[in-house]
Amino acid sequence: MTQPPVPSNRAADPPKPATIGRRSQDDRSSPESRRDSSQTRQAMRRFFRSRLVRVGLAMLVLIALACVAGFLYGTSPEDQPRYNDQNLTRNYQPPSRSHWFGTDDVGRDVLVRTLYGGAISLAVGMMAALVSVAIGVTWGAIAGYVGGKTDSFMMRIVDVLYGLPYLLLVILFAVAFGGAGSPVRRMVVLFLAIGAVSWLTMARVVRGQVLSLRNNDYVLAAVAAGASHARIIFVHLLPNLLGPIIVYATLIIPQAILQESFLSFLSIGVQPPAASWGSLAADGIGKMNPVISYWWLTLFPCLALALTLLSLNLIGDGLRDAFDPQLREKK
Amino acid sequence: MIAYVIRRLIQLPIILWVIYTLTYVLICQHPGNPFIDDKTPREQRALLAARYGVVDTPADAPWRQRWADRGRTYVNYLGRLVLHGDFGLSSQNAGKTVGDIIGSTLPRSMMLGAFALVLAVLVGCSLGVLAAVRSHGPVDYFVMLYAMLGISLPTFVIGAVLLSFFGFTLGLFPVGGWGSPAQLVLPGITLSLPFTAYIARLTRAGMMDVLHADYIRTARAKGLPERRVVLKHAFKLAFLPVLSFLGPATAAILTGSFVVEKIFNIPGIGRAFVISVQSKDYGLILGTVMIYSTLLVVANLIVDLAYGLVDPRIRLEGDA
Repeated sequence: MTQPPVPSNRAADPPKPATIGRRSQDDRSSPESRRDSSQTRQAMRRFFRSRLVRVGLAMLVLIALACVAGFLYGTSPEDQPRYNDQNLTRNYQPPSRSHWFGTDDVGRDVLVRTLYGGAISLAVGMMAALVSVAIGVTWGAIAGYVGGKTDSFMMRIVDVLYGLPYLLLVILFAVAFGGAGSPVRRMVVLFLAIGAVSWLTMARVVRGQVLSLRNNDYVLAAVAAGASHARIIFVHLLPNLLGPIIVYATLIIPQAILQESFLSFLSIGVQPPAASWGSLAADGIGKMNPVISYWWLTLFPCLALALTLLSLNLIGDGLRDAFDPQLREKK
Repeated sequence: MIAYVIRRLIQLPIILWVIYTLTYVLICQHPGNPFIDDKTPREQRALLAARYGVVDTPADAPWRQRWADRGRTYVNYLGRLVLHGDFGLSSQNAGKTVGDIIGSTLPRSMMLGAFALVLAVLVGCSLGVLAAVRSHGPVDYFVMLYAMLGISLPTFVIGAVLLSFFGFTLGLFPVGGWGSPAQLVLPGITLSLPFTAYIARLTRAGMMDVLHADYIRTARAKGLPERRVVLKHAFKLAFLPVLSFLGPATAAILTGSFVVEKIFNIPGIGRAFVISVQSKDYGLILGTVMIYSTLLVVANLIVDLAYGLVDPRIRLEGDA
């Protein structure tokens, strides 16, 4: 909040007339992109200065590493993967030295299952975010670049989609195309479905930015030099939007992980014996009763999920504040 | 304004029809057939097909005929719905119509959702205003921490915590079921928490913006009590972002209740939908999806109109 505003005199500099011919090399050193990189560097400095962001990053890296290690450990050896290693003589054991997170109803180690499930949750979340960024950026860039009737039509579709019960459609989609498939196919369908419904905000943001950038002189110069529309969008416009795209992409990841856990909680997403944080939590809550609470079944997956979402949200908010000084001052 | 309302009203059935068709196409992709398998005798298949208004396709039929028959079933269904408002029979609940099931489950979910929404708006706005008035103090930090947690925690985590603490350990509230007001408390709070958090953030941000506006200084300068300045002058404008959030919030509360209904064993429409998807009860799937969509589209329309009424600066499109 005490951060000095980004020096904006650079923005007022008249852009250098674009040299025709060696465009792609010149782009890197044009005043536009130089201003952008120094802004990005400043933003990154602001980003890393926040203590909450550093806590979030440390937490996320720790959890992610643990999940990857747990996934590798849990899925080996191939014929008898440890994540599904059942032993009915030691079921429902509370946390102990040999099983740090206890064991579940068929004696599987909850620590291994939590880390293994976490890897699946994180992977689905990230792939879904990628899908939604791809759709959202393309949609928004085309709408903003073409403008006019096309723009208002495309944005009207986004408006309508905003009001749809998308979770219902995701559920139908996931069951329709992944219902009887292999575990991998189910996962792919899951992240495609989640990605297909979470691109709307991204499309709006990108469209607004492209709309404001497309009348800049360097775009006109590119048009004059005969660059194709696709080239102008992807080479000249989108690199300038990297900041907002990264910010919103980071905010999409926790949403996607949340949705995956929702679906798995409703036993529509990941199916047993595979697991994700959502399905583990569903198992645990299903076994809660007033006589014996198998608290470790619910606590550890929920805690891992909550910490991951918290750290992702902290990082996302930190990025947004760092890249958008105007928003930051308002806060 | 009137032109805008009319246009939105014309849009409404078109959107619903698109959703209906999309749902139907997705259902057709579901593997398996809900009530007819290859072992069913031919006569019985014919009877079942007639009873449920389905055009039956033999298992070995070419894909072209399969889709033609699906198309005829679609026309049957849609005609029945448009002409009689009838969703037909539920294939997994013998003797019950989809209308019966929706009629008994929908009021429960609506009540739960309305309770959660009212709670979220009341608590969220109060917290947001408090945080803005005492900004950068301990109250503010507490509210913002709470908001961060509320946004990050999935509903089922909150539900599990409330359930095990207030339900099992303290025994203050019933742990599930439906019927008494006490059974509404835990699920209602669980469902409302994320929205409370988000509304608190929105209100705080809005209030921080507005409190520095000139007209607030004028209001203070003419000697109005602070309470009046904050609650009447500032809050009116700071509420606008919350109002526009209510449309998506209705959607999210409707679908959020899937999870809450599962945790707390509430026989609501969310559970009916999830079960219908898992048991391939096509009539019930179509029925629940259409009910949800109608509620949502209407809620969004109301929010948009309310927005125009509250803030006269906003001119709705087509209002020129």
